[in-house]
Amino acid sequence: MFSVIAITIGCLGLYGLTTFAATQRTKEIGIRKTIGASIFDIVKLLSKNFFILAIMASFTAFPLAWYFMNIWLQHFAYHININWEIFLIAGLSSTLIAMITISYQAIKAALINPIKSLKTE
Amino acid sequence: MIELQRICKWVNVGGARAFLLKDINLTINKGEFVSIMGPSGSGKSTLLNVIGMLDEFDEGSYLFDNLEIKNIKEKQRAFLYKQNIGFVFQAYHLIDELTVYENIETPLIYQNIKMVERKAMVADILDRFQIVGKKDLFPAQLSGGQQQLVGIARAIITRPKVLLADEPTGNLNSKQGEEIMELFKKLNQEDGVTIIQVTHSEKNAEYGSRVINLLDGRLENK
Repeated sequence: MFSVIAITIGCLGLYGLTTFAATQRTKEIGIRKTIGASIFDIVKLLSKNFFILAIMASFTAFPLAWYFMNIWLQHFAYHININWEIFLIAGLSSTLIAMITISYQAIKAALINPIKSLKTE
Repeated sequence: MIELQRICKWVNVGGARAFLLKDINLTINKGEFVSIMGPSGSGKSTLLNVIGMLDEFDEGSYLFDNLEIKNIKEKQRAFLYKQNIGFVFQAYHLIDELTVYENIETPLIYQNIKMVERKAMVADILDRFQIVGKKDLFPAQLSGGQQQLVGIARAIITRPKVLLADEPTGNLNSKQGEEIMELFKKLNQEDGVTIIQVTHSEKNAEYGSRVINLLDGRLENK
């Protein structure tokens, strides 16, 4: 339950951050489109940094999660083992959720007609 | 090479149509150097953007290399654009965060050209425009004329068949402007690049082989 709230709040932050990045780079995106960038190229450009951040965040979270879960699980006489698959699933799903959040803004930014974004001078 | 037939473009203002372009018939052959002239708001830039496939039109037909632009898919159009058209702007529109070298290289990346080849092509053009010494500088460190030079280098590095220029000398002083125009002339004559420029100055228009006059979205015949 709490995890749902945490993820939603995290996504909102990420969403705001991409909106900010996309509006700030509107002109650059427009220029790149006029020199032959496809929509996919633009989405890639905008998502790349966030993707790296998501991966890095996962790797910082793994040892901490492992450490605290280990302590917590000690309280139970019969407990499950923490294996690497759990981390893989957690990492993949969090990256996936992050990418869905980001790509909405990125695709929107990439679809803007370049003449519109370059006109404001 | 470029054939416009009865091109119309309009916007709806309160139920009435305001025409930006009206009944434009225009044929531009390979190797021509055309100047588009006209007062502000006469649709020069709009026409250029339509020719450059950046803007859409509402009616008429546009044949580029005998291909009807209206009928082809977005992906095909993007490919056609990437392969054939180079754009030069009044405000240069270089990417501020990239160096001169990277700015010129970027179009090649989008054409999936390999690193080694890219290096050679960029070096070639830097040499030709005599800006080798500037390659690691950022656009903000260059004068207007030099920035426009980089803008042109970026536009022609992909060897486009058509070069479209929207008031390329609008922000430059007359001496820099002259240099840019001379460069256009050379590109047109030596490389056979078809050039279409929008301009306000009679003097710059004279560099071209043909002048087209626009008024209120219509072609004026002189």
